[in-house]
Amino acid sequence: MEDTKQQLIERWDTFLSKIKARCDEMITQANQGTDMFVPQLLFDNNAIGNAWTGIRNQIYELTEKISEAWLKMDRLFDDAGSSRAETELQREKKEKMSAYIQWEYEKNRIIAIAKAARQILSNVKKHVNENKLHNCTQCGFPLDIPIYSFRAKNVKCGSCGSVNTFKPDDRVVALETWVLVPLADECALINKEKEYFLQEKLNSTDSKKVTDQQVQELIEARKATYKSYYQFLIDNIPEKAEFYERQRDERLKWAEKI
Amino acid sequence: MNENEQLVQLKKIAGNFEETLKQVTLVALDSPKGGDEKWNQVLQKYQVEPATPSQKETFYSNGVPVIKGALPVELRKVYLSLRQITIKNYRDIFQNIKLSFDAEMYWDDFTTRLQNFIEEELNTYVGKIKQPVGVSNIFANAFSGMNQFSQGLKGSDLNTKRCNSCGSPRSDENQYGECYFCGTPLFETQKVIAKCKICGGVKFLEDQDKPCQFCGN
Repeated sequence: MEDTKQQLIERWDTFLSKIKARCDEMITQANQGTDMFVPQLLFDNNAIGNAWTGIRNQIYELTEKISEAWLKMDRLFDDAGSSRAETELQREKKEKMSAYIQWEYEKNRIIAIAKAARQILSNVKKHVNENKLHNCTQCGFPLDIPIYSFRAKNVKCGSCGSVNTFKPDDRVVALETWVLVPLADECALINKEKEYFLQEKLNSTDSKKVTDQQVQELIEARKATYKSYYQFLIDNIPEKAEFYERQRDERLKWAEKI
Repeated sequence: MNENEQLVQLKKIAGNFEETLKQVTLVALDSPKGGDEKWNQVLQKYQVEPATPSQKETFYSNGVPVIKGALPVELRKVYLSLRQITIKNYRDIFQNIKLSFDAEMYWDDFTTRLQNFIEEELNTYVGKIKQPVGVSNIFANAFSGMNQFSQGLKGSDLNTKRCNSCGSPRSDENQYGECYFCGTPLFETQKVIAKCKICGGVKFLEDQDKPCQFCGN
């Protein structure tokens, strides 16, 4: 009986290690694909985003395979006379592997999109003339307009008082979506990782055994993620600071609801 | 027929169904893309009309890319026929027999299987015949949409809103009403149809029969 149990454990471990190897291989290939694509990007990273969405489906299939296999293994462990505690130990391996796979994907996706974002930023910087002067359309007086403005604005001429409406370069406006949000994600990555694994731990713990300290730790981790993410946006898009502050405060309130 | 006999008969029907299902699916899987002679024999046996070459062409050009196997739509029709045959087999034996409790429970479970097997089996079948998608395929596909949103972008622009009547520039950021110089609405929504010949003041559609609102002519 013990032999059968041991054989099953070995079979389960082998299966999980194969899944892990497949996941690592896919992530490596996806990173290679990203490295090949990034230099060809112009001003948007839509293609990289689409590719990583495709990878997510493949990753999802891997986690599905683990779940399907566990249904069979669970029964086999029962048939082999595994105690509840012993089977639980094997189930935990499944949870850990699923969590590992999903986080590997998420972490690498964020890093890949951030890599693309840096390339786009560099392209935009090459395209935009940072020394360009904006003169009043009426009197030619130089206006104080920052090149990296993210929305249209009215600027009153200091000399003749005429109102000039400034519409920023489309590439600069698009920086918010294609560059700054991905970089904010990357900035919050360390906190997000902590939050993710605390959440996973909580999900796999019996709800009756969850301690207040665990819940508090998760709340703090969530808050840290939001704070670092929004602080990056607030610092880099001062024109929309109020908007992002409001959004951050709403998220921080939500973070307390577990 | 006693309870045991009923169960034996029902299990036989269910067993036959599962066995035939397995065989049919295997023939479909083993055949090359679009089917072969062996598959055609299966279609004939289950009185399913084979798809025409143009129907096959439509499926292969629009559907999921596949590398082998009979057409899923044909397999589906075979499954439907198999379900009907199984139900007929049941009725032939149990038409006038009241099932015992255990036999009824068993048949209820099997009926659920009969209701759901087509979607489940077809899903698995398509998964087995479709072209495997690798990471390189995903990137190749994404490459086709590369820099889609990088075209037609415009550079920065600066302009000043001027009065339609006197040409005076907007002089206040919150100025959404009238021109400070001549009083003409700066962002008029009414259509200007003419200008006064004397002073050049604008005339709107509803003012066309009235004197000029600026000089009175």
